[in-house]
This record gives sequence, structure tokens and C-alpha cells, in this order.
Amino acid sequence: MRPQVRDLYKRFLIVGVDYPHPEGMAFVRRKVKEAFRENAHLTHEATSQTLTHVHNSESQADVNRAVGRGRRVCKDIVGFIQLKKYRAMRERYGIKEEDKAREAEAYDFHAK
Amino acid sequence: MRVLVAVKRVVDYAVKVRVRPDKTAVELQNVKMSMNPFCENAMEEAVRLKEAKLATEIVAVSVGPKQAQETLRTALAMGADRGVHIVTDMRADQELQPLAVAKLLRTVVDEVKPDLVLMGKQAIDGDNCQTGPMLAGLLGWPQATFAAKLEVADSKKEVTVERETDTGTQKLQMGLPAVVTADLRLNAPRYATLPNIMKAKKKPIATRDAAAAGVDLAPRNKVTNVTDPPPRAAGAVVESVDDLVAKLKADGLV
Repeated sequence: MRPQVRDLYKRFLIVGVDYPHPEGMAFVRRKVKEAFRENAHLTHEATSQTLTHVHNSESQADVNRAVGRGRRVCKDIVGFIQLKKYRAMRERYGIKEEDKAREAEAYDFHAK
Repeated sequence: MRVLVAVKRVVDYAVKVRVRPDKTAVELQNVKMSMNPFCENAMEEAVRLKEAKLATEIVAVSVGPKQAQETLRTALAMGADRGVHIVTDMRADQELQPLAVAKLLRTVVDEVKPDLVLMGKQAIDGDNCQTGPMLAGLLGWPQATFAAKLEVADSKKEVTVERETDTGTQKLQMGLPAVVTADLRLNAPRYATLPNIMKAKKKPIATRDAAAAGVDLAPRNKVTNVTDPPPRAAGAVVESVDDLVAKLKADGLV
């Protein structure tokens, strides 16, 4: 397994700990392994060698692209975790009317 | 400017806590623990001060059992330079009370000599809101609690803090050194990513024993009883809109 792929899997494990899902880590592991298996052909030795006219750099580019996609998904998960935490804290520790207005202003995409 | 950030290892916010059968405490065995969300806000503010070149060093401190090291590692991964771990096996949500923690933090302040002490406004397990103000009182330093905005003056000798109170926002100006406690809307805390976690493994954490600090750690309050909140009453199903209106009128809501 290439080092960047292993690095990506470790990143998923780190965010998986905090992922808010009833199944928790089990869910994250299952989904991540499925996704990795789907892309396994990119780093599979036999496949990349039979295409003899393909340069090494091209298959590396495919791997880079897949790893890049994975890292973006990781970033999305982090954003989701942060949002859930913010909303839970906001619910529990209260938000005043003027803050609601301020928040609505900050997130009003139509106004911008 | 040196910043000291106090963080606490608490039950994770998403965990559905259970009360122990003997009704003396919350069940903490095999329960997910993480850094207090308000302490994350405090840590993030310290890191932002460092990124803005206003702070030169960030020291993270935590009082707790051996596992509190993980919380300190998270703080280091977020951007602290070094950590101080005060080890104690007292339960952080019951036996180890804010006054004792404030006294322990004072010993750390005397050793680290920070210009600014940041911490969360309250911990989600104890909800005392006392540690910050008590520490400020013990040190004789100015304090600003529930900070929603923190600005450091160019002289680096003063800070302006906007506080969130029940009646509105209060703006305070105070000289450093000072104690500031962070509220939720101070900033959006960053998530510790793999490269930062790897870097944090090399940062030093000094360990101290709470009992050896020469501080009175005895609890002043005694927890007599811990119970679940009353279960929510079941709702009633209505057949039509008229039924709904009639029911609302009967309950005096319309």
C-alpha cells in the first residue's frame, strides 16, 4: 500500500472517532474500506503493469487524484463534525435574539 | 506575550450520559472523553494570537488522571508549544472542585509566568463557571468571562474584551496579565489533523503530581444525589385541525 494511501486511511480513522453516527467508528470503517476497495485497481501491481504503454507517472496521477478526493471528503467530515458540535452547544447553552440575527447575517448567502 | 491555556478532559458532548445505579455520580467507565468545547474555543483563540504574532508561546495545562495526556496532545496538535499535566485521580466532575483547580493553576501560573490566561467559560460536566474567576481572584488579576471577542492592544499591555451577558454585550478594557474565559462564539475551533498530531507527539509535556503541589485539594461541596431528569411526557395525537385548535385553547396556549 502506498504511503499516501495509508496516510489517507489514518486520516479517516482520526475523524471517524468523532463522526456523529449511531454506529460510530464501525460505520466510518465500513464506508471507508468500501471506497478504498473500489479504487484498489489504481495501485494494483498487475493492472498497472499490463498497460505497458501507460507511463508510471499517469497511474501515479490517478492515485493522486483519488487520494485528493479522499482528503476532500475528510475535510467535509471535519466540517460536519464542527457544525454538529456548534449546533449542540448553541442549543444547550442558549443563543440570544440579537445573536440569532448576527448569525443569520453571517450566513446569508443571498445577500452577498 | 506568553499565553497559558487551561483545558479539561470531560465526557464527550455527544455521549448520552447515564447515572450510576447508586445515584451518586455519572457513569464514566468506558465512556468517550474529549476536550471541553469551551476549552477548544480558548485554545483556538490562543493559536490565533500566535498566528497574528501577538503571542510568542502557548502553554497548555490540564488537571486530571493519566488519560488527560490525550487532551493535552489534542491541545498541542491545535497549536500549543508545550504542555503541563497535573496528575490526580480525583474525579474531575465531583471531588476535584473549581477552588482546588484554581489553586493548582495558580502554582502553574507562578511557574510559567504567562501574560494571559485563557480557559473555557465552563466545563460541560460540572457547569460551575467558577474556575476562571476564582483563579483571577487568587492571583489578584483582572478578569473577563464569557468573552465573545478578544483584541490585544498594539502595546501588548492591554486587552479589550467583549463579554456576552444576559442583557447584552459588555466591552471591557484591562491591563495584562489577565484571565479571560472563552464563550462559544469567540471563534470556530480548528480540528487537529494528522500532520499536526504527528508534530504534537514531539512536543514536551511536563508532569506534576497534584498532591505534591502543597495545595489544599479538599472538596468544599458534597454531592448528595445525582438523578436523571424526569422523562418527557408522551405527546397526544389529534385527528384534525379543529381538534388541534381545541386542544391548544384548552391548554391556554392560544
